[in-house]
Amino acid sequence: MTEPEHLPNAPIVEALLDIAAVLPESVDQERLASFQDYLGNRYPNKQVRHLWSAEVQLRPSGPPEAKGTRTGVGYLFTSADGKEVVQARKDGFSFSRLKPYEQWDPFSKEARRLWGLYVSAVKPKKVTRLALRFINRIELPLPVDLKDYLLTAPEIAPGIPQVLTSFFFRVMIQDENAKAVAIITETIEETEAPKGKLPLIFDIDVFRQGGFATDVDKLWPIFEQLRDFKDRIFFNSLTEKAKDLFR
Amino acid sequence: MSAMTAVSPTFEMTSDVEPAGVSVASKSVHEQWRQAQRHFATPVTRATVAHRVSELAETWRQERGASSSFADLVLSPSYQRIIGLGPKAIPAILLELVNQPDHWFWALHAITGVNPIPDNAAGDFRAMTKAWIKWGEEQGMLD
Repeated sequence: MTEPEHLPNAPIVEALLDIAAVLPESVDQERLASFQDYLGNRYPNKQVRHLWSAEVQLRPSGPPEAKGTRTGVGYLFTSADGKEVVQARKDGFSFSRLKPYEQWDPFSKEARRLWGLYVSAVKPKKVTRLALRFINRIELPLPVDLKDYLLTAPEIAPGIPQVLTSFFFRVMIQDENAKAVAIITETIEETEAPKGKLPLIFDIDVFRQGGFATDVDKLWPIFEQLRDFKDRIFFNSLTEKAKDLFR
Repeated sequence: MSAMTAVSPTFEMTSDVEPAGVSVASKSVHEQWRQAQRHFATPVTRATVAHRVSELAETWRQERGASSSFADLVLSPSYQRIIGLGPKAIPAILLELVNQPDHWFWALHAITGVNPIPDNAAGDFRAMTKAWIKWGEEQGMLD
């Protein structure tokens, strides 16, 4: 694998490495909370993670009744500067690096170290899914022809208005070599952007599903393949004009 | 043919009305959209303020244990982080107050700078809760 071009001003706002795992039945919220003891003082802030679910009951008379419930599914631990977040959940583990993302090596190394701690803390039985998700936020000058910047993008047929005021573009593609699937999402961020700029979100989520051992030395070569797949999507989806924004 | 361009809307584009179809195709579109929404919302950077307040509130309830000291309650890291979210957290804090009444008065006062609790209600938990909920309704922050 050739090392991808390093972009000093990469538009990554969140890099996420996620491992879905099956834990022993005995692992409860208390045990997941104890993961913080393994983390030392690098992740001092703790927050419960909830799973939200809603149930709608249809009644013969009167309006439907909606009831929402929340269940604790684990914890989220944040570094003092808020830039690194690790999650220990009943369904697995995640590590996020927020802006500024520097390089793959320190990101991967920290995720690997934390996964080792998670394995020590909760002793997962097996791994069922490995994922890398890189969320990019790109500010494009308005008005913009998306095709000047994006090669994977929505297309509107000729003969109808070409002025786009909103979109949500999502495709799933698979790669036989990496035995992986990618979900590519593009949309316009709803938050305020500098005047005259379009805040475009370009979100690449690549994952492989199956049954895997928890051994870090067996998992990380797969992450390298996922990273390669993710990079191919990123670099092939952007024009040189777009890449110049990040050089 | 002109190139496709993205622009800021120049007139009202959004609509609260979503035509709800009943065909299999319509349900399929709805399901795809639901999956896309769920996937989109997963990363921590996309957590809504309401979600963060709810999770921090639960963390606060767990951490405080049996402590009933006012200082311990409001100086706990999770409580302080909720205050740190600022004005955008107010509707979610008010909702916590409605669903699981608790000591959110100080957080609300710290963020808003107002105190809607009448003098004769000070110290009366139920009356204080009621006063803040009334304030939230008057401000249009609670339905």
